[in-house]
Amino acid sequence: MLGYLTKRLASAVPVIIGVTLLVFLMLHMVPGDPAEQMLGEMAVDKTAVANLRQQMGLNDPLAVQYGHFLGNILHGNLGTSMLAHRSVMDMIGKVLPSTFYLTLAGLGVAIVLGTLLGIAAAVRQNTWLDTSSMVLALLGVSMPSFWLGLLLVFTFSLRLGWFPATGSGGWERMVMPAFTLGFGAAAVIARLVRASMLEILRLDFIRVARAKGLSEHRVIYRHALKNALIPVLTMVGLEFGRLLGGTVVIETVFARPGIGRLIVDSILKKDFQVVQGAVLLSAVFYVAINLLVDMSYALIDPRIRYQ
Amino acid sequence: MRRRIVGSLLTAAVALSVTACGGGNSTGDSAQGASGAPQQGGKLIVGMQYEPVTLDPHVTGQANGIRIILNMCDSLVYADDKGQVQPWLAESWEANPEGTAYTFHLKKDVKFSDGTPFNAQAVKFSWDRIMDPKTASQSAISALRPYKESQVVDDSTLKVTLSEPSAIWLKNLGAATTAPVSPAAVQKLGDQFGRSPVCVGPFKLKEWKEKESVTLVRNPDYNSPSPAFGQKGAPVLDEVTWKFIPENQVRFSTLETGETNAIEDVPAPFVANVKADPQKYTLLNVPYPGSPRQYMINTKQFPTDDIAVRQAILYGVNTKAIIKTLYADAFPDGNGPMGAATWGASKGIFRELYPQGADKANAVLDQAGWKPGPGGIRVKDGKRLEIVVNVMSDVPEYGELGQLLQAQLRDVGMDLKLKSLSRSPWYASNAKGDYNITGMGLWSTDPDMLKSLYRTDGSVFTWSHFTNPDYDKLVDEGARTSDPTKRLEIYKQAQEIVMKEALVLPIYDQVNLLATQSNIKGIFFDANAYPHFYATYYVKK
Repeated sequence: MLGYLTKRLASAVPVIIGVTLLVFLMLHMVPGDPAEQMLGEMAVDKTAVANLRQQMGLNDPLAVQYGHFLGNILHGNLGTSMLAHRSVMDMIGKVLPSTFYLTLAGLGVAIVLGTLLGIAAAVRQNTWLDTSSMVLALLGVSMPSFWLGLLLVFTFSLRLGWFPATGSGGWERMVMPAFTLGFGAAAVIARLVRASMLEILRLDFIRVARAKGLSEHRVIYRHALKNALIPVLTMVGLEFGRLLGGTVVIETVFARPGIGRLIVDSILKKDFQVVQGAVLLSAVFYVAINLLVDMSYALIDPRIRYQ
Repeated sequence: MRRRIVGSLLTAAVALSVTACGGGNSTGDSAQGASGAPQQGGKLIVGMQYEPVTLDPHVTGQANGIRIILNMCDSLVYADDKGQVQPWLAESWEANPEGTAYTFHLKKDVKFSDGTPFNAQAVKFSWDRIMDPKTASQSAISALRPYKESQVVDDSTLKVTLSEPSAIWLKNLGAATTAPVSPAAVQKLGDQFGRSPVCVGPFKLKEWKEKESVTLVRNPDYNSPSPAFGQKGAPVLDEVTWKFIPENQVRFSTLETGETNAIEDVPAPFVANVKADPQKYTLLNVPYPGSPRQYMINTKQFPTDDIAVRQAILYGVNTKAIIKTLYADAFPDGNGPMGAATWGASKGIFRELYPQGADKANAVLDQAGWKPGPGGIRVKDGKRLEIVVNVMSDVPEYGELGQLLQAQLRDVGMDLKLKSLSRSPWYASNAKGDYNITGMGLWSTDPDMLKSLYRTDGSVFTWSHFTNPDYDKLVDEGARTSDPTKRLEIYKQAQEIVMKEALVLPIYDQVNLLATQSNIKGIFFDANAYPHFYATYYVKK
């Protein structure tokens, strides 16, 4: 197990380096001079542009600039916001917990809702329950989340007054954003669970379990579900990344603090240092989560051994 | 969306001339105030679209930042509704005849909100801080120029030297961006000062929740409001919170649900909803001083180097239809080179000279020798009447406007080509002048903006690329003259030249749209049309 962990950790290193390279190049792929982009209308002042280029080290060769960039990252320094004059680390640190909770809550919604819908559809295959579950799943996959978010605000804030539309803190402000975020992933998981369950419910060991006289409840939840969950778990790992990306939209719609909102605001203001830092950290989380998911296979399926 | 365009040009506007408190627009009072008794205390929650980057008045270059800051930071002077400079934290001042040296006499017994004394040393410290390149001031530095240095005579007297005379320097001191800050707080907080600024003002910072809200709390010791507020002592409200809600629909919804008590930048499509329910809401629409949202017409590039083409554009564009289609009639018609609310604006000059009508546009073009050609596009000397429009792709509004112009001007035989450019190349192209028309808007409280926009090398915004020695002489004189009557006459002539030469196509006058619940009164709008909540209160319904 330990050996596998080391190997997996080592294999994550090239991924992270690739990410740093992309994030670094992002600044240079923006059309036009980065310094001019940042200065906006003030870029007409050529001395200001020259000063900023100097300050940002843009006159150095690309490789040297990348070296500095990597060195800073290793020291935990993601740079300073050009506009706010604050450390990017500090800015991210202030909003990260909020995004983390939102993603977890969204994932919770996705897993619980997805699994329940999937099981219902599989167990009652070809009934109205199956059809409506899958129609719901289709909606979830195809509905843009900002639209779902606006619909929820309209219905549950404006018409019914159940939940506040904006802000963070307290479960009542979490319900709508988490549901909006998790709904799309729930749909994916539901379809997967259904397919996986249908396959497993036809296998011999289920027939044996039923023949032993076990209750249907026990057959489904203890025997079938546990086996059906392996592919789902992989999907959850992938979906986590999608959810993390989805917070960009959700945080903007529901006016929640978070790393997605920070990225959007910073892009609008051309505060590239902040965009770089936030994207880099998000990528690192994504890699870390996938690692955790791989590790957790063993907990669910003892047949999987790490070498 | 509108805010972003305006916001993108804010720095420019401030660079020209920004004065903070003044004006005379106040809600409540007379008519509305009578409906209920004022309540002491209460909390006001205002929905604002975007979170400001910093609340350091000396650093910020953003309108949304300044809107919060001016509720915490008093200035030395303010501009009243006649555009005249009035005393605020400075009780009085003298200037030398050349206008290069000022002596300020400051109010005594005034304290910063951290309890440290407000004095001449603090003003000197603040202004030197603005000029210090390390501060990286984005707007205050433009307002303070041509400030050179200052000398503390005693605690309440400050002598200031300018590097050259300026008729608008004193007025610029009304900008909240040049407000004095507490030197003790700057030293203590360092680069965190922008997160919790300390000024002299009715409110002080209580909490800034990152990407969520900023809350100011009542300063009980406040004793220095400007006379314009018509109120003395500490503010009525206990707290004012700005919540940052980027999504237009959601921001409007929070006003309906009561999560906010007021929202800034009411999206145009919702203006009708607010107006429809006066029992519940009050719509405050206060025109911004400065230019309308407008298109500058390039006089140096074919075919707009032909005045007939420029005039035909002005006749041919149906601005009323544009305002109806894109903005649900929320904005008034473009006034002229300056919005109608700007001091010194010649009211209605645009449509007086150029009544809208395709027939008039066609007549001008026919007369100038532009004959209808293939596909309905006019031709002269074998060249098609093609107009290149620079469109800033970062701002969707410019694209929508461009398409409407394209459709409208096709009817008079012009072929508009929309050239989409991202922000930086857009500025570069405007400076270079390889286009025919380009959209913009500028905030400014002083007609000196006419110099910045149309004088030869007047600023970086002379996108009509107009050169006329008589005009240059006129606006230079305006900048030197301090007598308001003379200035009015000068700028009247300047506006006439701009319109007769057809240098600009005004689309609509920019308006600050603020919606509140109807039981909120006493919001004061300054000369910049920015709201102050010092004298704001709730009435019992």
